[in-house]
Amino acid sequence: MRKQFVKTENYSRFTTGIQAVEQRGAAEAGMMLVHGAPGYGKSHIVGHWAAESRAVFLRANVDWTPKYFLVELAKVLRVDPTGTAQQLFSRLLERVVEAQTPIVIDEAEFTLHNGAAALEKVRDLSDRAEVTVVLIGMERIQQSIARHKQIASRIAQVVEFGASTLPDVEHACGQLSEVAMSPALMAEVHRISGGRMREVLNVIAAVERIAAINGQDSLDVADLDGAALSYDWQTRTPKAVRQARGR
Amino acid sequence: MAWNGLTILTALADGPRLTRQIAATLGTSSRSANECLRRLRQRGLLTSTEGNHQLTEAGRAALASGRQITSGPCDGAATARKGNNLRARAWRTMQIMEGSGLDDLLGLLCDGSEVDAERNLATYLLALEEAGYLTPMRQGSDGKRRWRLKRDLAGEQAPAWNKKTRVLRDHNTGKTYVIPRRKEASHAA
Repeated sequence: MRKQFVKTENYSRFTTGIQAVEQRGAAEAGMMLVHGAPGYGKSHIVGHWAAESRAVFLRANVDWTPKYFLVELAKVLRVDPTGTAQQLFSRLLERVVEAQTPIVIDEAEFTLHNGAAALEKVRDLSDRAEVTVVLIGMERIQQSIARHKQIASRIAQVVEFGASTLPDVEHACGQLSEVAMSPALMAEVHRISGGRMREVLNVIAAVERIAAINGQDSLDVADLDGAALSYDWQTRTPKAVRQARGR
Repeated sequence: MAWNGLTILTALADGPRLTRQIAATLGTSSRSANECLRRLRQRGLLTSTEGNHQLTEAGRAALASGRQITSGPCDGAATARKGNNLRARAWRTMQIMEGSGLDDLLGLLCDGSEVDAERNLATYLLALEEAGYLTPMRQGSDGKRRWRLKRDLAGEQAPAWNKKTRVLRDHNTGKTYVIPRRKEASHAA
């Protein structure tokens, strides 16, 4: 399987959202929220953008406090992390204003403890430095943030990541698979994966393994009818290719 | 503007200097001085911290040899160091990810347009590991190697790697490492 980044509809929505935030009218409304169920590629897509745009990428922890956030940010920005929280904030503010580096915070649910004290510090930094902050969280984070009016008012864009669409999966199969797949088989990859890109990659790898064993360079549903390409851990059943469903 | 590399190194021989002091020595603006300083930094001859510049070991050696420091090409011996090339993006990605392997980096950074990306990054990762920047982690389910970047050693700029001379140069610290070829052979195996 080729190892490449696949531009999905989630990616397209994210980049559109980030452009809108960067061209915002109100300087202080510089926050963006990305949320969705696990496996939909939130961290992967935002990580790709962060690497391209030289953004700072932090992963919040269960025990994050405002000071913990500041120290983590200082380490990444190579700013002296010592001193009081106030001193550290001032030092960081100077650095962030100067560099105008966007900040990404993954697993942002962990910034909501203690009345969202850590997220309040993030907001303060974003307000003063006028930098873009991207928060990544699970499905319910939007409602949790909505309870904190001052923070919610700074969120300029919300992008919900959904399951990959059939065109996404077809695009991924075409770009990544070294075995040619028929449209019907790609539809089966979409069904079996449930639109989770992580699972799409696993299924493509399984298809390639079977093709290699059988010495084939292209496959259709008929070639794989009944073959288990994945496993459902909740129902403890294999997910197999169904010929009728695929056609 | 004439290239002032040797003049700057000479000015730094007695100790660290600020940008404005270098500019005064050259009789130029701080902006022009910064450009010269940047090129000397790229060559690993000096390090800069918040506008304060000092010689590295390589800078002292260059000064002692008395050779003219030019801004021109150096017959392929310069370490590749573009701000947003694949290696630089991989360096930043490794600072984001807790652990990563070659496939993770390719899957996150490449779109298929890169020339020989896999070999490029594979040799870069090997050089970083040999120089002590990467800690090996448990292998992935596919048996492929994975690493964690040592955050305390990771500077802002990606260490620059010249495969021809087998030199890895960290422009954040001025340190250089010569990576033996035999390691690459065993890695590939």
